[in-house]
Amino acid sequence: MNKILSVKNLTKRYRNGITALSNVSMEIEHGEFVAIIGSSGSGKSTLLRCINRLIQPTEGSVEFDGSDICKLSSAELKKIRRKIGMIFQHHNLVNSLTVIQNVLHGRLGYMRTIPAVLGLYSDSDRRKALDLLEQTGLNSFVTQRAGELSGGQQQRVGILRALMQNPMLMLCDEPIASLDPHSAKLVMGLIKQLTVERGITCIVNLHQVEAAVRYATRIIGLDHGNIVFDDTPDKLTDDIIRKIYGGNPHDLIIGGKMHEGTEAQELVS
Amino acid sequence: MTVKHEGARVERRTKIQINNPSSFRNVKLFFLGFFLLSFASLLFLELDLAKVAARLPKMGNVLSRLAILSFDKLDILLKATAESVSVTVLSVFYSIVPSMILGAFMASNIIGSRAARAVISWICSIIRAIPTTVWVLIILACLGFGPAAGIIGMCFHTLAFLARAFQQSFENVPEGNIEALKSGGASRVRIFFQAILPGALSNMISWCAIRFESNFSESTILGMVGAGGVGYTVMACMNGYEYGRAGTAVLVILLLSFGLEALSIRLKKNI
Repeated sequence: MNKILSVKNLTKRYRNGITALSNVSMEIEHGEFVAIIGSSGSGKSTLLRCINRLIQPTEGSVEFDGSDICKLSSAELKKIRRKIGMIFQHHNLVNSLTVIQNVLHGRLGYMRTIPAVLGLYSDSDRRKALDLLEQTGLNSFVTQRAGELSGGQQQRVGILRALMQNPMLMLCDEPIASLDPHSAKLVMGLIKQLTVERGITCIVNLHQVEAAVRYATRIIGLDHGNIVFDDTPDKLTDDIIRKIYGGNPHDLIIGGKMHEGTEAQELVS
Repeated sequence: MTVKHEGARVERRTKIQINNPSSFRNVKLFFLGFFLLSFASLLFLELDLAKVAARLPKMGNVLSRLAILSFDKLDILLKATAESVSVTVLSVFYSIVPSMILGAFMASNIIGSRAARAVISWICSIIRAIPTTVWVLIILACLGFGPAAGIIGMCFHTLAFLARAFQQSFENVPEGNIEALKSGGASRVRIFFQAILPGALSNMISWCAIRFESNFSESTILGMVGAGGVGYTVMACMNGYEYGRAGTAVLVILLLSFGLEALSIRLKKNI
């Protein structure tokens, strides 16, 4: 298996002095489905955004498809970003545009300026977008405004937008954090299915440990900007969960399953 | 019952403060200052309120004379009204594209450089600080009497106003939309036209509708300084004691203003 992404000694210090990532290194191989877990503020989002340089890292390198993303010019960066799809917690669709217009946004990076500005997508792009919408059961919403859809439906549109880029790598930032359990399962299943079918490598930030164990081929645990775990899901023990989340697993809600604990009694006393 | 043991109960008897002390004090200071300023202004202008009150019945006299509408030379009135409407339409229309450009250059989610934004922002503030009437008088001095001066003069203020309004509309577009297109490799120009503009459009249309309303009322005033339109008709008729014709003109202005307001409310609801 060949490497698709290699992060070396990545450090990000924000201007307010907070160190979000300190000396993070990881290598991702082609076709992996990696879940990054960790509590809020552990640096998951920062790590993901350093990979496509939505956030400029302070130190270190991110090697993707043979080039160091941190050293690219802005034109080169735009070109390479087309190969990296991204999915967001809040979907980030343009609510006033139609569902298919949002899906076609994935093509903007490939088009010439004038057609891109005017939204003159090619017939083949339109056909491809429509096919994807049909495959994912969204064909009855094609020309509906994106803002009128439910959260789960919007997230599916977000996935299709990223797929339209023909990406080699998919970055998903908390894709199910604001969805109900049913939609969450649907969306995670769809991400897994679509990326596996197309051989797209996938990195997913997750809050839910259970979802990480269920879908990922590899789990990376982050705590205060450091990697504290990097292995297959079956190696994730309670001890390690305690290390990642800084608490007893019995006191945590893990994927909707509340471990029976003494939390309630502690609060009363 | 000693105070020491029943502390909580004693406290309950005292009045519980519900205002934020410092902000409440500022509100009081504001009203006090406002009152003092009003009093000083009254003294400065030497207003004789008794005299004003004595003259008030005359207002009824004038109003009743205005109410006897005269449809004499109606064609002139209608032509002047059409001129006012045209001035309004054009002053908004010509301002839209330049304000979009200026607004985009002032929006923090489009232009990163704080200095560049500040320069454009100053220019807009300066243009806006000069009232429309003054702008029109300046242009009149250059171009002579007529609607062209009215349009150009109104454009200045409209442009600076809409630029600021559009800037806010652009900045209200969620940052996530921009991030999403950026992550797909889209350039800034593409992001502007594909995410920011569609997101801000309905907001921008309602700003234009608001400006349309206010430009119409402004254009009637401008007629009185010589920039043509229905305002000039009102002034000429009043000066010539043709109260009936003036009354008709006022009625036409009233109806048009109402119509425009209704139209813009409808527009805002449906977009």
